[in-house]
Amino acid sequence: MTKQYEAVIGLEVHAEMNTASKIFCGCSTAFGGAPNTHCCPVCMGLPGALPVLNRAVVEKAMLAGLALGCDITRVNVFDRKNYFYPDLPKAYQISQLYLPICTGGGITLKNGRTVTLREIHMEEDAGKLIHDPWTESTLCDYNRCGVPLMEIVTQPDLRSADEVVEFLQTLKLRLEFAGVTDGKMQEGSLRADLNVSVREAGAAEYGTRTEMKNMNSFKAIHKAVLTETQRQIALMEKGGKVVQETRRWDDNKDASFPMRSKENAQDYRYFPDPDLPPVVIDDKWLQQITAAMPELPEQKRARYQSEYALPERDILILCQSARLAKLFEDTVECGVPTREAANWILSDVLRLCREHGMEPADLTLPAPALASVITYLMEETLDRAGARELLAAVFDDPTLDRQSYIQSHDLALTKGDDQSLLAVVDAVLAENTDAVQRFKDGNEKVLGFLVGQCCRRVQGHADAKAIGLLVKAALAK
Amino acid sequence: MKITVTNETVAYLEQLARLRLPERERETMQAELQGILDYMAVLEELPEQGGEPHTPKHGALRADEVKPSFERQELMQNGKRIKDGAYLVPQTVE
Amino acid sequence: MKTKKAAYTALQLGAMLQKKEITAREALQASLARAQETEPSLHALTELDEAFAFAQADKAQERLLRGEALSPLDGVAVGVKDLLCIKGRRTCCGSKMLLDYVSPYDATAAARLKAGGVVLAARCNMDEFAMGSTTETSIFGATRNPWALDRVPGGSSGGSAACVAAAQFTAAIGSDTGGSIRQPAAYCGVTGFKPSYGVISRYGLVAYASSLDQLSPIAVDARDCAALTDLMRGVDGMDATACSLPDTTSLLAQCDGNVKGLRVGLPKECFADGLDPEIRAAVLALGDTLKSLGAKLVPVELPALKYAIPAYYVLACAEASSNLSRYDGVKYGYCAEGAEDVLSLHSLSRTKGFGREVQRRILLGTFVLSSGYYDAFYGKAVRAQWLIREGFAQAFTQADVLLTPVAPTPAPKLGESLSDPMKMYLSDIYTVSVNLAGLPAAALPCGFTKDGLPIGAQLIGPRLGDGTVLRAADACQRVTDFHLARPEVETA
Repeated sequence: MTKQYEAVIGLEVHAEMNTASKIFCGCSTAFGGAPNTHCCPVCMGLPGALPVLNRAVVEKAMLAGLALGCDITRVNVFDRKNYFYPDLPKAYQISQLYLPICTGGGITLKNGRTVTLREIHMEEDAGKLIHDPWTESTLCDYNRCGVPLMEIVTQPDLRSADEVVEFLQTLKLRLEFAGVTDGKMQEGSLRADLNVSVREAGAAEYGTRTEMKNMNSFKAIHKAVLTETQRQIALMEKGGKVVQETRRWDDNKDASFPMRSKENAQDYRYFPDPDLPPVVIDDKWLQQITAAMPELPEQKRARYQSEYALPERDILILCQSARLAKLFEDTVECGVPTREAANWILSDVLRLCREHGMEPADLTLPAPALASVITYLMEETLDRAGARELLAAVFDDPTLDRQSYIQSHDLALTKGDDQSLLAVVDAVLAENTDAVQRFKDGNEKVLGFLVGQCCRRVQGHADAKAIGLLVKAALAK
Repeated sequence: MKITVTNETVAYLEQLARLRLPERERETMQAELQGILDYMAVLEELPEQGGEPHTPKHGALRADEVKPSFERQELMQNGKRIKDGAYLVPQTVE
Repeated sequence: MKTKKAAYTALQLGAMLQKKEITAREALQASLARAQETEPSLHALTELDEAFAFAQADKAQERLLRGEALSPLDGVAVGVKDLLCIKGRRTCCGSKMLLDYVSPYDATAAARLKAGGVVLAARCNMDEFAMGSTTETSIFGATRNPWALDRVPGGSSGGSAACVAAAQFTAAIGSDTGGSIRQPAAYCGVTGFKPSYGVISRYGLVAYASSLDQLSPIAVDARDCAALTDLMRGVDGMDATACSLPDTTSLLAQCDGNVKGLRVGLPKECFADGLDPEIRAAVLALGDTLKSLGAKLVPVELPALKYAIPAYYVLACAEASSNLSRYDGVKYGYCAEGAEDVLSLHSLSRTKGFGREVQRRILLGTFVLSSGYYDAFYGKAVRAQWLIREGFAQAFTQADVLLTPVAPTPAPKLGESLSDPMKMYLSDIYTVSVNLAGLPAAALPCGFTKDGLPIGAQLIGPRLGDGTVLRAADACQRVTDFHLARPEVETA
């Protein structure tokens, strides 16, 4: 009989904070840009340059900690982690080893198990290395250097791939709603490394763990946990031993491979960074930040249920992205009925996102634009097709002048009181005296024929309901 | 704690610090480091009490405001090997 | 040894410029002529770009003619230690590593000096990356002491001290990490002032040991030092460790000559064995001068002083090993040819780019931070540092300033220290504790040995008590003239 095994998994999650400027200098954190154009002497580590800490980084780390139930460290110190690598221009990373800003806290999973956090610390991101096939060399781009990161480290409390993904999804959402990250996985703003070990079910000791890097989606993480767990079990079944090593996930091959060990055992020679005085968080500051905490996903869902009476499924989808929930609330704020706002977001807006290959976090559509599209439909300035066309246009260009777009694309429906429409009705009735007579004789079916004739004349630029009313009114004369 | 600086110690430090001393110099360096570290043993005599850090003063912070970055050409004027606005180094593993 | 008297101080020159008794160009020409005459034997400067200097002097002259002087030192030319970044200029730190390095930005202190109209005329020689006490390890060669060409000027700001002593310039900017301003000032018979840690922004000062480095002026007298510090000091958005002084009066205005009732502490440990008797006598004589001016001499103790040198070298080298890691041949600095991989590129560039003393300190710093030794060395050094701070705090309950020697001996002969690093490190005994405690301290000339070598005394103040230190030093200089003596520099 084969033994029962249990996976033991811990996570190190790197979440990029959504500050405007870098952690230690005023350079932009914007994604992309030509190589080394978001750089200055500080983030490029030029001789004589010094770091000065961005206040928002501390505050966002505090918010993250509060959103996860952590204790906030009152005296924070930054440490230097020393190692040579071309993506690290100072040859040290400013991080926190001895006194991380948050400790404890955690997330309770649906199955009731709690995943405890060891710590959250603040640190700077490194640069990007790009392989240059022409010169068989590596290109160093330091635009990412100094982008602020939170490293969230869990205890080895996770037991399955499903738990890992649920934990990460909940974490991502909390951080996003707390306003500290923007949750764009594609741009690497949330990266998770796994520590995986396997032990016989019921054993007290942990097995030897491996570290797994380079998964860039929840799907890949799920697969990596399964694969690594199976690999270790297979190894143990064969009587082999798990080697403590760092492995790299290859998404194309759905498999992981040991990374070549860097030159020698890591000896990072951490010591407190003398350029950065301690950051002291006093009661007043902590209270300010606690008071500024935005609504978290769980609270938001509860409120939507009691305030908006939306179906639970809709609430879940709206609350799966802080950006989406914000769009919904702002659209309602513009005076759109909740039902309409929710329907439009859940159907048309999400469809446009999918079509553009965007995540909801990438949405730039302004709420007033969405609100006006919905209002045009409700006021019958546009029909549904016209409203969809306009939405697609403002989705692409949020600054679009909606009025002139409606005019230039001839989207407006002709209104019931429109003189030209009345003229059309009159003309159609005048040309179809037979039908008019039959209607007056009691054959109401010809009404449809007359309305149809009118619609053909205006080529669909008015809705049939309005024309129907006009025709009826004219016949009643 | 008597610390003995061996040839291997110096070699390990060189590796960490990215220095490569010629063998002959390594021996001299070994002796010099030994002498300095022996002298530093006086720190062993520190009294058990005292020397606790005082309440730290709050350091200066900056507001989260984007400032224009440096003009790339100026910033990178001291680089010896540059291609397409990026520094060029021998290929890194992985 | 023949001596003469300094023609004018920096402030006196500034006043002459404003009264149009001399033009900025004329003053600069005199400096350049003096430099041309003395440089072949001294080698205090590493760069003297006349066009760059004259352009600044001429701009200053235009302001002076309009009566729009930016500061009392507008138009005054100074030397600048080769580790303060000036935009568009070479900043080499006396190292092969940075031999062709051009800074794309101005250090805050450089920008503030410019804003005060000071002419940044020349670069001063230094020990490589400020690691040394003799100014012998520079890639540009050793600087010699103007009072005795076979002796060192001290270091690491030896070029800055020597160029003022030789009357090339009335003042110079240097930096002080463990005594690098005060010790060369003492060896060269000029006045140096290390402000409290943080008083002058370090932004653009190429780092040696970040928690100890402090930009500092060297000049003819304490008043010049006060005026230069006033121009450079104050908080800076680019340096989180920069701070302002609690006393809002300018340091220059605090030099009012009044030391009545000032309690001058004489730390017992600083006058013990190992101190040259001539130096002891000269420093104590300065104490008597202060007493004659109304100050009170009080005995104090600094029991933790014996930990100062080991603690200093542990902390300074640890920080240096990290600070100097950025020189890896990629972004700037010496880049080794023919490296096949990144490891070789880094290692070869650093091995060939750094000199021996720098490598020694990097290795030492790497060791004290490495796994298994951190607590035994770095941890203990930090605790020793706090003990030293507490010791000073205790002494300052009994005294307002402390009077000590700067160095246990006068300037040693060239080459003497290079062969014995431990001996060189030990000569920092009176200065390093001041950096460890972040205190202000001045070095001022207080006599000569029978061989005619200058002797320096050190006045140490409590943290941020910079004004008190300068006031006491100035009071002494009002009634003595050691600081005005200038050597006849032998010329080749």
